[in-house]
Amino acid sequence: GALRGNVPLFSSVIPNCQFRSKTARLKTFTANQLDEIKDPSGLFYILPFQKGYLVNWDVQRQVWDYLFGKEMYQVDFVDTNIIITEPYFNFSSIQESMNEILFEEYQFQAVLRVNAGALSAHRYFRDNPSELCCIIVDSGYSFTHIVPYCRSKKKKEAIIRINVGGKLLTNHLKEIISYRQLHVMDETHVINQVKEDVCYVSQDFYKDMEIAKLKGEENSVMVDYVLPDFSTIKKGFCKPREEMVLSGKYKTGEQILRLTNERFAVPEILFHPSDIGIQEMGIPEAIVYSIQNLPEEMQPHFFKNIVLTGGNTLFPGFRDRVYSEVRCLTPTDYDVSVVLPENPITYSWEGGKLISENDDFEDMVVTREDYEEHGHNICEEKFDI
Amino acid sequence: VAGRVPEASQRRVLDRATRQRRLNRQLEALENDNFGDDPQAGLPRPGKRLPHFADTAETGKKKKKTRGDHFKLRFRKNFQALLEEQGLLNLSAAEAPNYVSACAGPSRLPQRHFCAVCGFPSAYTCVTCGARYCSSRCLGTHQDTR
Repeated sequence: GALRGNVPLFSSVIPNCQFRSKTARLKTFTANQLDEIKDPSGLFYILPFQKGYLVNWDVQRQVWDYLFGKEMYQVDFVDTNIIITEPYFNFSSIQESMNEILFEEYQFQAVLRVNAGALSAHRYFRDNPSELCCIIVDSGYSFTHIVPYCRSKKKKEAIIRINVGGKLLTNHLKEIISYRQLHVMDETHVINQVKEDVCYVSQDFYKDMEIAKLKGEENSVMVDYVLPDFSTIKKGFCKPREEMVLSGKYKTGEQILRLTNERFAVPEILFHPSDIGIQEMGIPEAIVYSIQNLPEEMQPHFFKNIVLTGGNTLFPGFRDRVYSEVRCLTPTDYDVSVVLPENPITYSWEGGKLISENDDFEDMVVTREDYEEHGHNICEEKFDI
Repeated sequence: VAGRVPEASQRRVLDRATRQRRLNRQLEALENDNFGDDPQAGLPRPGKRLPHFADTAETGKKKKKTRGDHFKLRFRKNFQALLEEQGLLNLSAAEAPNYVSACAGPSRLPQRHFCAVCGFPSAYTCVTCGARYCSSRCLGTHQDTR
């Protein structure tokens, strides 16, 4: 997004990657050109990131050239400041490459490099000015981070990373559907949409498992999902309950996935990574573990300010489940409060917007002149990555 | 069902190391961005890209183009190389907290097991490979699709 003066010009969520399609073989689609692809079956993803860290600058620069260029935002670098987020414990070589590319190649006027959670924390403290501590849960594509913030500084020693993210959930869903019903291993884009449309977080796992086993009408968990064929059906959807054929086959020509326990077993991996063999604790356990490793007098403040951000928090029932599990694991004399913002994906961006409007924003950034004079050192000093 | 169970002498039991390797391969596969190959993989590389005349004329700024192989080498490291460069492969030497130390530890809760075929909670284990199943029907499917 961008502001000119204090007027928002635009803000949108755009995929940070490139795509190749089996049907449009010679073209590589960049970022939101995804919308131009008529037949996204067998869509091939090219990400600049590996395991959540920026490794492929070729791809990233192509995305940025496109976004900053004529066809999109037409950025005037000399006059523009940029706030860019980086993962926790970002490698120093990546940070240095980032400095070089932003200052020397694109030549931005000033840069603020920051963790996404810092922006979320800033946003949270703006709404809750009396609070001093909060713990940010950022569950995204590559992984989930649990990060306590105290007075806008992260508690580095208590950061926990769970190696489960949206990518893993989609891949797992592709595998189980491919094994049980229909080969969809190539259909990342389609199955990702299925995941977003039908999956939810169960409040009572074993009870939902029982219901999912029932036959016919009584199985309220079961859903029939109609897959898109990109000619007549552009977008997948769930068959309405009245139209579902509960026993026997469908007479229509559509490709249909019948989903029962997959609906809640897939997001369950965020809460129990051990379900698929990843020996790590789930989100609620990690929240409690992280807080308990902080000074005791601070702990109640963190439990009262748990903030959920990132795409995976959009699963229906996510917030309630995190609350009930953290509540069970916490002493009763502590208050527990879990907040899911209205838009968990753009929450950190909103924090960035607030920061850019702050009076002390100028002191937080590194300008191109600073960088040209002092090099990487000044970035290392000023930015808390 | 009795006919499905092979003679004890014919049954090949996978040992723990093999099972762990299988599990590791499955978990690595979950990290992939894509399943198949790049649609452009087999195609011949396109000829030198035409310069963007419009861009350079407009801005008048000298945009630093790629500086050849050196640039590419520096700016396309893979993840493992980055870990090594940061000094994180030798854990005792690395300064905590760092990327590796931030990784979540194992859960205190016992691991739950699900049928490899249907996904419902499972009580039984396949003798040969250690996969879980919930009923004799799922065991049959498992053996058919081994």
